Amino acid sequence: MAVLINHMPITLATGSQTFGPVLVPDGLTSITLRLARNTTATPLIWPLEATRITADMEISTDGGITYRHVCGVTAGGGLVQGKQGEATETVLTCLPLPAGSGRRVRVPTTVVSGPLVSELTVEVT
Amino acid sequence: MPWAEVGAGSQRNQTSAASADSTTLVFPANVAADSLLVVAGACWAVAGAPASVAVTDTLTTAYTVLDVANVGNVRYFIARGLAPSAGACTVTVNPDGAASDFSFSIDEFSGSHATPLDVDGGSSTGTSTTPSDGITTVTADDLLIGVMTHVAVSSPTLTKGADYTQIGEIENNLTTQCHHAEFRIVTTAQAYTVDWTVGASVAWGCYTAAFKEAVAAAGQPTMRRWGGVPYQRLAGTPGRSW
Repeated sequence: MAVLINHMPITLATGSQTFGPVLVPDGLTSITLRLARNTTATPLIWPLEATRITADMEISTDGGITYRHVCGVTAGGGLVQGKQGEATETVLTCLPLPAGSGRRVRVPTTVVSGPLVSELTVEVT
Repeated sequence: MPWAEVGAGSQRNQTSAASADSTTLVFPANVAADSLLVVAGACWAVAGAPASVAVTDTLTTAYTVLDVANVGNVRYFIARGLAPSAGACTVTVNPDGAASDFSFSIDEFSGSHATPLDVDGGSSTGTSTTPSDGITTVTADDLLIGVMTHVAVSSPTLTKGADYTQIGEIENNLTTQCHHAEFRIVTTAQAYTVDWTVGASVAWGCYTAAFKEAVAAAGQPTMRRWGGVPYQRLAGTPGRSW
């Protein structure tokens, strides 16, 4: 596994912003995006359900000339219960990643009713 | 025209999400017009199984969703639609409710009948390491699709049935909702068992459906020999009675 973006604090105003691109190590086949969620221990992170984000994962296999959409997620904030109690993250995983050497990944985001305060992690396995 | 998995599996893709409203997933290559697009998966929410699952795509394919919620807080589903045109295709899956854990797989098949559904096999539930659901096809030469999920708070291995081909799977059942989707192309109208093996005994649910293949075009009747491999009369050959 390789962590491409590791708990990077983000504050996203309403509108669009793109993270990356970052290089994906060759041979890895799945990608996961994590956004820290609001919990009772982290009340300042993404507290409002109305604050919504759409985050896509796009990959380039031609050195960053062109990118294609791989997968994406839409979510709102606020406290959410997961299978093991309070959900600490919104997570998106997709596989298989398109094969190639020197691949690059970027994450375009669009926020509604921002700002959205969170932490972004992108990892590949 | 017989069933075929487009690209021999290169159009398979899968994704999972946690605490999300909806997700998108792209077919790796352009889909062909009239292909049967299959989306199969499972979703979970803390307040109870999502009331429905909406499946759409960027080609405006009209999906029909076969689904059930009869194990834990999980709704699992098989959605299918005929691509109205060729092109790049991004599928969106949106369970009812604002925050669900869910996963699904997608695949593309050629050779579909214009009204694909042969049999809605419904669902089965149980607690064991061997989920299965029976389905009896009405029409010969069907495409069988099955999806399974479980509600254990663990992530045991999920393995396809011996006679089936895996479309996709997500085994993680701790931070998302697991599923395993598989298919089989059969030649004889009869009873079939769609099955899986799980690495530990779990409370599971599985859903099956069978889809009809295309009817041969006028003047292009299809004959079959043993093994189900189709012969077709060549266009322009002198008329013969079949």
